[in-house]
Amino acid sequence: MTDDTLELTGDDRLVLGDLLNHVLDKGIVISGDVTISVADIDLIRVGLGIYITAIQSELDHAAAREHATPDADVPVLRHPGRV
Amino acid sequence: MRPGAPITRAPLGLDESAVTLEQNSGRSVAALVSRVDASVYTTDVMESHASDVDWVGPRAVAHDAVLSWANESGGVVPFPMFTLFASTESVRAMLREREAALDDLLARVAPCQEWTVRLFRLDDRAAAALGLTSPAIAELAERARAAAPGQRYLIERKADELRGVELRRVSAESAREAFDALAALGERAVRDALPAAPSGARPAGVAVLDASFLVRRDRADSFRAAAGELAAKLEPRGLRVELSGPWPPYHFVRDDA
Repeated sequence: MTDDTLELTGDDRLVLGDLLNHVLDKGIVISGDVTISVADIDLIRVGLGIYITAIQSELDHAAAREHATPDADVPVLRHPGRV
Repeated sequence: MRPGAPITRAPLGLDESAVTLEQNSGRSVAALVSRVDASVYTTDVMESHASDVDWVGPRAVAHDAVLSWANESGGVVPFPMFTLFASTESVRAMLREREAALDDLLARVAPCQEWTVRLFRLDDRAAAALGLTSPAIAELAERARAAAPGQRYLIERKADELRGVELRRVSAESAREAFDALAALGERAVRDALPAAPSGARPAGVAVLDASFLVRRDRADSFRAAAGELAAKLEPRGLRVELSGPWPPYHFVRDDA
């Protein structure tokens, strides 16, 4: 997968925003007592804070597009490829 | 994951690399690993892509695809994206040091999936519903209709203020009701902080609940049905329910979850 092969539609971006909210800052965090990374893990996590802020904005925009016509059904959002 | 997981069936990992299972002989936990180019995953490069969804997106999809497969193939304890180790020996050292905690976590989450529920208030609809359900607001609206123009303005301002208070109260009550009802069907539940309300028009509604639930696989159908019932119940109040999943247990592997 390369960057330029992923064409995202508005719907894809909505589910991608949801996906990023799950994978970026959740999960078990390991502290610096192991040899981690090509850089210090704390520095990387500082960087992830920026990702999360940017992604939230993306999510808001996508959600605004997606839900212009809301209905009472419960949409189950899944990212592309999820069965 | 557990050692011996059917790794050859796993999807490709980060940057289309094959995923391997790193483990120490005779131990109870193993790590799913993608090998990446160290020159690409430096702090500088990663931060330069900080707001670049097209760079992060495919990597997030790959990360989640592997974890979703793992969660349905025996269970997994998710690490966040970009948890990087300098060598496979570092990975194995981490596994040795954390074996007991990882073993407990894996036993706890393996029978489960994570589901996320968000609740949004659609202000126009919610306000209209309040006019029907709140006697005080209905009465003010009636008085405004009957009043002279100058007085009508003041009454309408008062009604707006009361409506705002009532909207927040109804939202908070509904969020609590939804959370409690769904939490009863799960093993664990957690509420995330709500995002700051976006400026300008908000056709998607104001987020009033963002919660994740750890649900046993054999109760997933019941959970989804309950979410559907909640949606039907809350829709007349101007509230919309959004469900996503199943996810690996991202929210439920920290000490505080």
